Order: sequence, then structure tokens, then C-alpha cells
Amino acid sequence: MREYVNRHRATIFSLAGLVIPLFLLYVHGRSPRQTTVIEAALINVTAPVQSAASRMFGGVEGVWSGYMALVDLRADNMKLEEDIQMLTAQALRAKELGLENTRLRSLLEFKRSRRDLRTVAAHVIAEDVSPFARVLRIHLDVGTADGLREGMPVIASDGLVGRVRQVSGGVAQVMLAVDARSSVNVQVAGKGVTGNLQGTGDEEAYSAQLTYLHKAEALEEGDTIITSGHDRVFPPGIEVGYIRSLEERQNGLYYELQVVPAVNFSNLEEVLVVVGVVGDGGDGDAKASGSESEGGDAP
Amino acid sequence: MMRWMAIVLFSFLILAFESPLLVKAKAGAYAPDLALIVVLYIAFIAPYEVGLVAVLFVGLFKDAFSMTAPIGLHMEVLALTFIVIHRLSQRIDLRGPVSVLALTAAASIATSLLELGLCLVFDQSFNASARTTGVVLAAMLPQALLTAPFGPLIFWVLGQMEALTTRKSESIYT
Repeated sequence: MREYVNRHRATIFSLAGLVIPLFLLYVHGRSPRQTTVIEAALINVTAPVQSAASRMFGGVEGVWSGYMALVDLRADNMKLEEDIQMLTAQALRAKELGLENTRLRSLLEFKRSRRDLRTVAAHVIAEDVSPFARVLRIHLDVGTADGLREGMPVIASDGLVGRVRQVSGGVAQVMLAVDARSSVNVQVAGKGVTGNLQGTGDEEAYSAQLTYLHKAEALEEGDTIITSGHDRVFPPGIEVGYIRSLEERQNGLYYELQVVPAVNFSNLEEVLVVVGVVGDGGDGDAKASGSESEGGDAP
Repeated sequence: MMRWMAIVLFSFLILAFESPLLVKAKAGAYAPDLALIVVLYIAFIAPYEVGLVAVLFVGLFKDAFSMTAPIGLHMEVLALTFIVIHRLSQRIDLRGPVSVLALTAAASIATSLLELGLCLVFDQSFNASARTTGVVLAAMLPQALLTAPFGPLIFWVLGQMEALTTRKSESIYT
């Protein structure tokens, strides 16, 4: 018997290997809708394993997707930072352009209101500043090539800035109206008071001093000071400043009043240089003063 | 004995991990028949009796993990495959990964036909209409093409595993 089994061992194994599965199939086929004991046992073994595998892959997927999200987040963050920088720069540029537009519009309006003046527009390219952050002189991007000469008046839309002190091929230096060496013949608008406006040269504030001989009418605080044109340097009717206070000081025959300039010299960006007066004789150029201190007639 | 247990355990693990992995990868419809490849490997290296027992376990695991198949279906199919391939293994020269690839593809088609036949005979829930049979037949070739590339890979992994358990590094290729 044993010998027979040994001789036909492979055949017996083959038969057993094929019959056992067929038997299981037959059992399943008899009651396909019922879970057999073998099926239940197999499910009990495989279900926890598959559940654990699913959780493991879910965890790996979570870690991976989290990592990928972080990678994307970093790239997004960098792009957004770049966008912010670009947009901030654009916003600043737009703001600057808006302000420049406003200034140029007011300058244009001023130019239209004074068609009698021949002017050259100029940009302020540099400023000499005092230790107290007060502008002492400004430099313009125009020069003799543009028709500028020393002594020519420089004005902004708000009023008088000063006069050209030095000029070269493409650059001009401007002495401000509040400079101690500046002198402008002025009058109080609407009042019959004429005098001379002298810069105080104060390093801490922009101020000038109005010196006049007599008062035809009573002056008031805030009265506008304009150029009289009597000095034949500055065209008449250009705003220069306002009376700061009525605390006048008598100096011999003259009275002195403090004047605050109409122009804020710290914010100057664009100005007009008056190179001539329309209808004036000769080449129409504005009269230029040869001396720095000779701004106009002494009161 | 250890090496056969290791192979059976390996087949259990790949069957356990295959389904969740494919579901997570959203490729549940494209499942290669990894158990078949393990059976082919066993058929080439194992003694007949031990190999047949191992293959029955592999088939049982495949039935258990496939959920929808009746218990015994894959056991029968893989046992038949093992018997045939084991008989032919003396005549087949596995000269490299390409021959494993071809063998896997051919075995995949053969097992699909066997499965269809057994389902028609034993599985009452199987819809034996001409349309269903046509769909199963049409899916045979894609299934074979999908399974075949995994043949050399699984053979290599099992070879490495065997080298670890038996401390021998004999190649299955002639």
C-alpha cells in the first residue's frame, strides 16, 4: 500500500489539489447567497489586513499630499510676494505720476493765466539743504542752451520761487526768495502799500521780511504779497507770500513785517523760468540782474 | 520549508496591499494578476508536492481577497496552471526577462479562459449571457498585457527573497 502511494504520490497530490478546490466551489454553488464557514474565516483573516493596508496607504497619501500642498504653498507664497512687490512699486509709481500730473496741471493753468510771460519749464534735479532740513538752493535741469541767463525769475504755480543765480550749459542754480541776499520789490495785493521783500536766511524756517515806508491802507494778517514789477526783474502780479502777523517793527522811517512765502520750497519738483515777456521790447527776454543782492528797488 | 512559507507569506502580502494601493491610485480597474506570477515562479523552482500545497494557499488567498469570486475558483485555476507549468518547466528555457514576460502573458490568457469556464459551470451568480462572455473574453488580452510586465519584476523580487532565506543566489534563468 505504502509502495503504491509512494509510486503514485504525484498523481494523488494532483487529484487532491484539484478536487479540494472543486469541492469548495461545489459547496459555494449549492448556496451562493449564504456565507459559508470557510468564507467567514477567510474574511476574518483578510479584512483586518486589508483595512490596515488601506489605512497605511491613506496615511502615506495624506503625508504626500500634505507635502505637495506645502511645496505648492511655498511656490505660491513666493509668487504672491513678487506680485506684492511689483504691485506696490506700480502703486507708488501711479501715486507719483498722479502727484506729478496735479503739479503739472496747476503749472499749466498758471502758464495759461499768464500768457504774457515766456517761460521754460524745468525739473528740480538737486537741492542744497541746511542742517535743519531747510532748502537753501535748488538746481534745475535747464541752462544756457535753453535760453536761461543769470537773474531770470523762477516761479511755481503757487508763486515766486527765486531767481537764477548761476547758469551753465544744462544746469541752473536758483537762489530762493527767502535767501538773505534776495530782494524783491512787492506790493500788498489790493492795498496801496509797496515795499521791498528781503529774505531772512533763517535756517530753521522759510521766512522773509517786508519793509515799507508808509501804509496807504490798514494791513491785515494773511494779506497777499505780490510782485510789483517795479524792479523790472520780476514780472508784476506774481504771488510771493502772505503777511504772517501784524506785529510790525519800526526801523527808522521804515516798518518791517514778517512774511511767510507762498511756495513750499521743500516740495518743489517742477518750476517755470521766465525767459521773457511777450510784447516787451528787444528779444523779449526778462531783464536779468547782474548782482545777487540787487533784486529790485530799495524801498 | 522556510522558503516556501516565505513565498506564501509574500503572496499574501502583495494580495493584501494590491487592492488598497490600486484604489488609492485610482487604478482599481487595472489590477495585474500577481498571484499568477508567484505561481509561475513556484512552478519553476519548487518540488511538485510542496509547490502544489503552496499554490493552493496562494489560490485560497486570492479567493479571499477578491471577495466577489466563489471560494475555490482561483485555487482550482492556479492549481491547474501550476500542474501544467511544472510539467513544462523542464522543457521551457527561461533565458531572461523577455521570456518571463511572454510566459506570463500566455499563462494570463490561459487562466482567464479557465476562470471563465469554471464560472460558467460552478458560479450561479455569473451572468452567462453571450454579452458577458464577450466582455470577459475581450478583457483577456488587456489583462495579459497588464500582468506581463510585472512577471520579471516579481521573479526578481522572489529571487532576492530566496537568496536571503536560502543564502544561495542561483538564478532562475538558464
